[in-house]
Amino acid sequence: MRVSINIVTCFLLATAGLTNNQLLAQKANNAPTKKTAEAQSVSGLVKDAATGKPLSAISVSVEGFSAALTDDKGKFKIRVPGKSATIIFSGEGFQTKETALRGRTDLTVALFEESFNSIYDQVKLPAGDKRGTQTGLAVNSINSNGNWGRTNETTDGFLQGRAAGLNGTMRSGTPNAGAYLNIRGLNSMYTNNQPLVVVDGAIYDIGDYGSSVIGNHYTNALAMIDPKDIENVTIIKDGTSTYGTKGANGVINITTIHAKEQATKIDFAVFGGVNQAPKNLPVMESADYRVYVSDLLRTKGMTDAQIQAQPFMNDNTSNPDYYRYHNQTNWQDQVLSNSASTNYYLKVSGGDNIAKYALSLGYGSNNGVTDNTKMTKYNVRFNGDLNISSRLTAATNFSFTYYDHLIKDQGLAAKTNPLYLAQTKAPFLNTNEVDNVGNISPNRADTDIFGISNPVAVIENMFNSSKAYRFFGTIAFNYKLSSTLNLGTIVGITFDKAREQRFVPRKGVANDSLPNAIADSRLAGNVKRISNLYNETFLEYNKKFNPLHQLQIKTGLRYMNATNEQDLQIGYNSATDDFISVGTGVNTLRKVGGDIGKSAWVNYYLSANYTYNNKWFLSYNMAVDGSSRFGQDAQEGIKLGGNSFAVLPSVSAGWLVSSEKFLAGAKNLDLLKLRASFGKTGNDDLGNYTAKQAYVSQNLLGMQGLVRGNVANPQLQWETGTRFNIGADLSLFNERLTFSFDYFSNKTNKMLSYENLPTASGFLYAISNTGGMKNTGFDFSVNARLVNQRQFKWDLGLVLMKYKGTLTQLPQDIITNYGGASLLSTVGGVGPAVFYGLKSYGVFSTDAEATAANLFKMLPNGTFAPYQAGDVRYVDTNGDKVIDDRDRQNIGNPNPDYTGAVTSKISWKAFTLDFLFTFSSGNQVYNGVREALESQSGMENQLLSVNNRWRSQGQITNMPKATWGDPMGNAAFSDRFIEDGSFFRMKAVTLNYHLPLKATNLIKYISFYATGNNLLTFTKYLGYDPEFYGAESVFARGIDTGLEPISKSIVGGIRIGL
Amino acid sequence: MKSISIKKKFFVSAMVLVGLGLGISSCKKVLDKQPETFLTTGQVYRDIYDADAAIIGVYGKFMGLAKQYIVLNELRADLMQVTDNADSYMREINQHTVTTGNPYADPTPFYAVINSCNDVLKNLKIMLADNKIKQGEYDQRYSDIGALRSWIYLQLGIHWGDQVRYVTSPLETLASAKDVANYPVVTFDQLLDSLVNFTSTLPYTRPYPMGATINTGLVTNVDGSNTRRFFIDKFALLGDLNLWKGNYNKAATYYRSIMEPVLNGYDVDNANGLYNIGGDQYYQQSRQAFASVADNRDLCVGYIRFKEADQGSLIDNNTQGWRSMFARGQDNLWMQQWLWVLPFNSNFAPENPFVNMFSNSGGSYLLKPSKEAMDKWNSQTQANGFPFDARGNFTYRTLNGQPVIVKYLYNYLDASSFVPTNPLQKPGQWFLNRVSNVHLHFAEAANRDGKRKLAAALLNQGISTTFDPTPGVTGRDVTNIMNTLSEPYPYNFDARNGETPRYRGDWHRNAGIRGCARVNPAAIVGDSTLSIESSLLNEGALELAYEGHRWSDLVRISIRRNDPAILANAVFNKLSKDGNPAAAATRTKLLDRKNWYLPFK
Repeated sequence: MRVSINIVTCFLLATAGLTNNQLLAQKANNAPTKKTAEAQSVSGLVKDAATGKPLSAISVSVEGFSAALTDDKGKFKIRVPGKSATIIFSGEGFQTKETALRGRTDLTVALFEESFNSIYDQVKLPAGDKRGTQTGLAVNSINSNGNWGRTNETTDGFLQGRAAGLNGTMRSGTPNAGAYLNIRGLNSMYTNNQPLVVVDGAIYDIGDYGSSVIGNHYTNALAMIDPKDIENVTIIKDGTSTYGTKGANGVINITTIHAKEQATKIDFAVFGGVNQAPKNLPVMESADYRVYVSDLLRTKGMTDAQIQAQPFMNDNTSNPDYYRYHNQTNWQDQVLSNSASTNYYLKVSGGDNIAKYALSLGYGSNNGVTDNTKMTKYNVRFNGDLNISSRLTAATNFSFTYYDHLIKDQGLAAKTNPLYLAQTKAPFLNTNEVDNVGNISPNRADTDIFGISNPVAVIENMFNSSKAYRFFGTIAFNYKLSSTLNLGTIVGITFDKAREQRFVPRKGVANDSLPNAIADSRLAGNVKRISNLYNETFLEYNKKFNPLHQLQIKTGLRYMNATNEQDLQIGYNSATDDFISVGTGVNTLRKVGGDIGKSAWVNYYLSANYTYNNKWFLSYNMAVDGSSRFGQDAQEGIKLGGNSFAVLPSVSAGWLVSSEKFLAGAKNLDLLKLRASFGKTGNDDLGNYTAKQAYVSQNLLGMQGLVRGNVANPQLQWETGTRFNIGADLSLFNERLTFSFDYFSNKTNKMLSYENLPTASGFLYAISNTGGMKNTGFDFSVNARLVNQRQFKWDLGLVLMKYKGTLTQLPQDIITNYGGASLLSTVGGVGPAVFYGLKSYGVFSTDAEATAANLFKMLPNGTFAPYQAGDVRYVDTNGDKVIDDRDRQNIGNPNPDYTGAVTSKISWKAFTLDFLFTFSSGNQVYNGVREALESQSGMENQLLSVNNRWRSQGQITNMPKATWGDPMGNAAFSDRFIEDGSFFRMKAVTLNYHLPLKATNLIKYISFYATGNNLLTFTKYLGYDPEFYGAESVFARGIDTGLEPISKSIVGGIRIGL
Repeated sequence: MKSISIKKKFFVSAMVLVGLGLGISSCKKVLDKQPETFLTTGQVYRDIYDADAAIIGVYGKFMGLAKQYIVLNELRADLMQVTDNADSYMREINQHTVTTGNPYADPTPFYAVINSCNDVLKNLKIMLADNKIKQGEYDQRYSDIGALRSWIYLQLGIHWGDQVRYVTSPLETLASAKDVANYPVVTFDQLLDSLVNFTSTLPYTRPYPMGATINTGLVTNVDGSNTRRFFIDKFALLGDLNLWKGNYNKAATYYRSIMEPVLNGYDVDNANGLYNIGGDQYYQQSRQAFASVADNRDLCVGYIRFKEADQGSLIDNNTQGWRSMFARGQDNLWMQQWLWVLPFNSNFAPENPFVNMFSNSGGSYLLKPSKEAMDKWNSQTQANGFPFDARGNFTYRTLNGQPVIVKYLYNYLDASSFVPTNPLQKPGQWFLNRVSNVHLHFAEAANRDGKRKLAAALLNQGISTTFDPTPGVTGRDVTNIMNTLSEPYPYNFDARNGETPRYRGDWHRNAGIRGCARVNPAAIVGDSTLSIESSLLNEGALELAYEGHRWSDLVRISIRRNDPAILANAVFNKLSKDGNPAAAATRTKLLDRKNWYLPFK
C-alpha cells in the first residue's frame, strides 16, 4: 500500500508539469502569427559608447517578434509590438543591451565593449539562462574572461571580492588552500555555512570529509577547477529554494569553457613567478634570550649559581658546551624563503556544426614559502557540445585534475610545525651538531635540552605529502519536444581521492608519548575518497503568448548519491629514519581507523516564471526534498512512503520601473529595478546517520562488544531557513554609473544544536533541532566608468557587505574552546560565537598595588595564591576576588562589521591595469601565535616585546613578568591577545599588454602579463597576517593558530593566441 | 510527421520512465542508508553472539568507572589521603567540600553504564520473546546485567543518597530521554527496596558455567586472562543488598552460597580433578583457609617456617603469602580468594588509572595512605608478638621516602626493587570483591542475626578453633566439637578435624580473617553484638583497605546504629592526623547524615 501511494505521488510530481504544459503548448501555437493591433515601428541609431562612432551590423530585436540589423551609418528601423516594448541590441565585440521604449519612437543607443561589466550580462540560474535584468532574484554574474593574469589563484580565491554578498576569506598562504566562501554570513552553528557549488549543471561536492594526518591541512575541492577554464560564475543569493535542503547558503553556479565558434582557436600561455617569504616576527636574539631565560629559571626556584651552571649560561670558551650554546641562529630565516611558481596552459576550441569542443591542458607548480614545500598540479578538461539531431543535443564536460603537494604541519603542532619551532627555538643553538671545540658537523642537531625540535630537521627530514585527484564529469542531453517543450537530463559523476603520507623522523623531532610507548618516529597513511552520482531530469516549457506574456515552467527531479570514505593508518617507531612508510612501524603500536559516510538526496522541484512585457518578473519555486539523513518522524514537511520530506516554496518579483512610461522623461536613467523575494530553504548537513540509534564498538581487553552510543532522535530534520530579500538596481548615464543594493533578512529555524540531557540519562547531549538564528545585513555595489575614451578607459567599483548574525534560540549557552581561545554563543549575543575570556587592565606595578587589589587565583592543588607585582591585573567580573572562568566576559567579536572589495580597471591603448583591493573591518582576531610568544612560561623563545616585561617594583608596563609555568595565568586567554583584525589589502594588481596581430597570421595575438599578489596590506595586526581561516567551524573564526601566512608574489607570463 | 511523433512519444516515454524509475526507487529504498562504522537498531541483538557482544560492551564500559569508584569509596573515607600533587577536586572529595563541576561527584559515568544495562535488559527480553536466544542463555545474561545494574545503583545510593534517579528505561529516543517520567527520584531506602525486589527475582544467580551444554562464549581466555571472574558475583550482591536492608538471615544465606562453592557453580577447575572431595582446592575455595606453613603456598601472612620470630623472614613476594593475592596470576590459589576482578592490559583501553593515582614512579602519586590507616595497622599485634599487622606492609610501602599504596602496583613494579618493570607498560587490576569481604559481611549478618560466636569465629581464629573448648589438644574425638551443625542453614558449619574417628569437615581449614593474617584475635568488649560489629568494621579496613569497601561499610554501620559519629569520627581522625585544619568542621558537618551525600548535578 505504501509503495502504491508512493508511486502515485512520484508520478504526480513528475508529470504534473508535463500534461499541463502540453495543453498550454497547443494553445500557444498560433500566437506568433497573430498581429497585434498596435504594431508599429521605431527607428534609431546605435553607436560606440567610447568613440561615439556609429556601429554597423548590430543586431536589433524584439524577442519573439521582430529583428533587424543596423546599417553602415548605425541606423536601424524595427517593427515593435507597442510603445512599451523592449528592444535588445547585441553585436560581436559589444555588450548586449536592452532598452525599453517608454513611448519613444526614436532611439539613440550607445554600446560598450564586450568585456564591460554590464547589468544586462547573462546570469545562469537553475531555471535557465537570463539577462541579469530579467529576474527578481538577487544574483551576480561574473564573466571571468579566463582570469589569465592571476594564474596561481584557485577558483575560490579568485571569487574573493568579485560579488557583493559573497565573502571570501583566504584560508592560509599555502598554495591550493584557497578561500572560505560564504554568502551573506552565518546561518547555522553546526552545519555547513558554505554555498552550494554547481558546475556545469551538476552539484560539485566541496566538502573536505574526514581528517587529515597532516597538521591543519585542508583538501580544497575548488582548487581542482582551473579558473582559466571558467566562463561564467553566477552567484545566487536568494531564490535557491529549488535546491531544497542544499540551497540554504546560496548557490555558486559555475559554467566552464565551451567553444563559442566553429573556427579552431588555440591559446597557449606560460607563466613564471616568485613567492616572497613573509617578514620575520621580531623574536629575541641570543643576548636578550639569555637574560629572559635566567629571569625565568629564577622563578623556577633555581639559585643564581645553578643558573650560571647551565651549559648555555657559561662564558668560558674552554667549557665543552660553550660552542654548542653560543651561536646566533635566525631560525625563521632557516625555514622560510622565497620560492618559485610556474604555469603552462593550453586551450583549444573549435568544431563544426555537429560537434564543438573546448579542450584545456594545464600544468603548474607553486612552491610555498616554507622550505621544502611544493605543489605540482596537472589538469585536463574536455567539454563538448553535440547536435545529435535537430531536436536532440548533448553536452559533455569532463575534467580531471591531479596534484601532488609536499607540505609541512601548520598551526597547533608544537613539535612539528616548522614555523612555530622557528619562532620558539632558542637562538643560541645551531642548526647542526657542534663539537666541543666548535667544529660544525654536517649532521643536523637533534632535539635540544629543552625538548624542542630542530626546525631545520623538520624542514629537511619530515615528510608530508598529499596527492589528490578528482574526476568530475557531466553529460547532459536535451530533447526538444516542440518549440516550447524541452526534456533534459544531466548525469554528473565525481570521483575524488586524496592520499596522504606522513613521516616524522626521530632525529631532530621531540618525541610523543603514547599510553604504552614513547613514539620517536611517527608514520601515517591516509586515503580519503569521495564518489558521488548526480542526476537531474527535467521538463521545461517556455512560451511567449503574445508579445506581452512569457511563461516558463521547469519541473524535475534531482538525485544525488554521495559516498565518502576514509582509511587511515598510524604507525610509530620504524627501525630507522630511512623507513618512512607506515607498514615499517612497530606492529603492536599500529592503529587503523576510518569512516564511511553515505547519503542519498532526492529533490523534486518546480520553477514557474512569468514575465509581463519584459518589466514584471514573477517567479514561484518550490522543492520537495527527501534525504537519508532525515529522521523518520521529522516535525515539519510531509511524509512520503515512510520518509520525511521537506517542502520549501519561494516567490520572487521584479519590477523594471525604468521601463514604465512615466519615466520616459528620465533621460539619464537606463535602468531602475526593484526586487523582492521570500522563500524557504533548508540545510541537510546533519551528519549522515545522526538521526539513527547508534551501537558503537566497546572493547573489554581484546574482545569487542557493543554499547549504545547515543540517544537517537527520529525527529531530526533539516534546518529550515527563511530568506527575505529586497533590492534595487539602478543604472545611470548610459551605464556609466551603476548601483545595486540588497537588504536581506535570513532566519534559521530548527537549527541543529547539541541539547544537554539529564545527568541520569548517562549521555551528555543529544543532537536536536532546537536552535534558531537570525542574520540580517546588506550588500551594496557601485560600478563607475570614470573615463570612457577610445584609448583610455577607467572603471572603478566597490562592493560592500555587512551582516550580523544573532542567535534566537538555543537549548543552552555554548562555551567552546578552539586553539587556546574560548567562545561563547548565547541567545541575543553580539555574534554567534564571540571571544569569551578574561579582561585585563595592565600589570600590577608594585606589590602594594597587588595587595590592595586583593585578588587570588586558585592553584591546581586547590590553594589560593595572591596576585603579585608583575602579574596581569584581570577584571574580577563576579566580585568574588578569585580570578577564574567565572570572570570571563565578551572580549571581542571575530565577525567583521564590513567586508568588501575595491576594483579598478584602467585600460590605455593596449595596456590594461587591474587592481583588486579587499578589506575587512571591525573583526577581532585572537593572536594565538603571540600568546605563545609572550607567554613567558617556558624555554620557548619570545617576541622582542617581552624585553619590556615587568622586572622591578614600580615598573609601569603592560608586559607581565616571566614566571616558570605561568601559575597565575598571565598568558591565559584574555583580551591581551585579542587584536583588531581589520585590514585593507591590495590583493592583486595585474598589468596586461595585449598585442593583436593580423588575423591572417599564424599567431593572432600576444598578451603579456605581470601580476603582483598581496603586495600591500594595511593592518594593525601584530601577527604575520590577519587573514586566515583555520577550520570550517563557526567556532574557529578569527583564531590565529599559526598557519602558513599569506605571502607576496609576483607572476609574469605570456599568452599566445593561434 | 507521424514517424517523428512516434519517435518523439517513444523518447518522451523513455525519459519519463527513467525519471519515474528514479523517483519511485528514491521514495523508498534509495533514502535508506545504513551506517557502516557503527550499528543501528535492527543490526544488533539478532543472535546469541550479539547478546554476548552486548554484555562484553557493558563490562568494557564499566571498567571506565574504576578510578571514580576508588576515589569515592576510599578518599571520602578514612584510609586514604591526598598528596601535594592532588588537584583541587580530589581535595574537595577528601574533606567533603565538593563544589559544582567536580568530576568525581558527577554520576553521569555511572548512568552511562546503567543506560547500557537498561538497553541490554530490554533487548534480551525481546530476543527471548522472538526465540533468538534460549531460556537458559537468557537467564544467565539477563541476571548478570540486571545484577550489575543493581550494584551500580547501590553505589549511587551510597554516594548520592536520596537524590538518585532510578532509571530503568533504555531512553532510546530523545523524547524519552527528556521525559521526566523516566527519571523517578527515589530515597536511598526506596532505592534499596527496589533493588532487593528486582535483584531477588533474577532467574540465575550462579557464575556463568564453564563448558556446560548452554552456550557460554562469555567464559573464555582473552589476552592473558580468563574471564570467569570478570562478571559480578550475584550471591555477593544479593547478600549486600539484604545486609543494607537489615534482612540478616537472608543476607547470610546468600553469602553462604559463595561459601559453599562446589554446590553453587564455583567449580572452576573441575577438569583437573582438583575439586575432587578431599583436594586442597575443595577445602580452600571460598573458605578463608589457614596458612600452608611448610611452603607458604597460601594467601595468609606467613614467615619462613621455624623463623617466625625473625621479622626479616616475613613472606613478602609476589608468589607466596597474603601479598601474592594482588600479584599472582589466575591460578588455583587466586581463584580461592577472588570473586570479581577486572584486569587492565596495556595493549587495550582503558589505561590502568591506578598507576597514575598511586605510583610515585611513572605515575602522578596523587593519593597515599592516611596516617589514620597506618596507625590502624600499627596498633595490631601479631601472633608472634610483632607490634604491627603485616597486611599494612603489603598494602602500602615507603618508596623513595614516600608512603605508596602498592596493592594496585604489584603487576607494575618489580617484585623486589619496586621500580617499574617498564614504565610504559601499566598492567594492573581493578579489585572488586573477594572472599574475605564475603566472610566479613557474613559475619556482620550472623552477628546481627544472633550468631555472635560464629561471627567472631570467622573474624578471628576460625570455626574449628573457636568451637573447640580445648584447642590444640590432639587425639580427641571431635564429633561434637569444631562445628555448628546444630545451627540451621546458613549457620551450620562442619570444621571438624580429627583422626579417630577421622573427620575432615569441609571447613576444617578455615582460619578466620585474623587467623590467616596472623594477628591476635580482636577482643570483645562490652555489648558483644556492637563490639563484634565494630571489630568487623575495623577488620574491613585492615584487610580490604583501598579495595573500595571502606566508605560503604562506614555508611552502612552508621545508619544501622543510627550513629553518624562512627562515620564522622573516622573522617575526623583522618583529617586531624593529617593536619587538616578543617577536620573539626568536617566532623560537625558529617554528623548530619544529609551531608554524607554528594550533590546530584
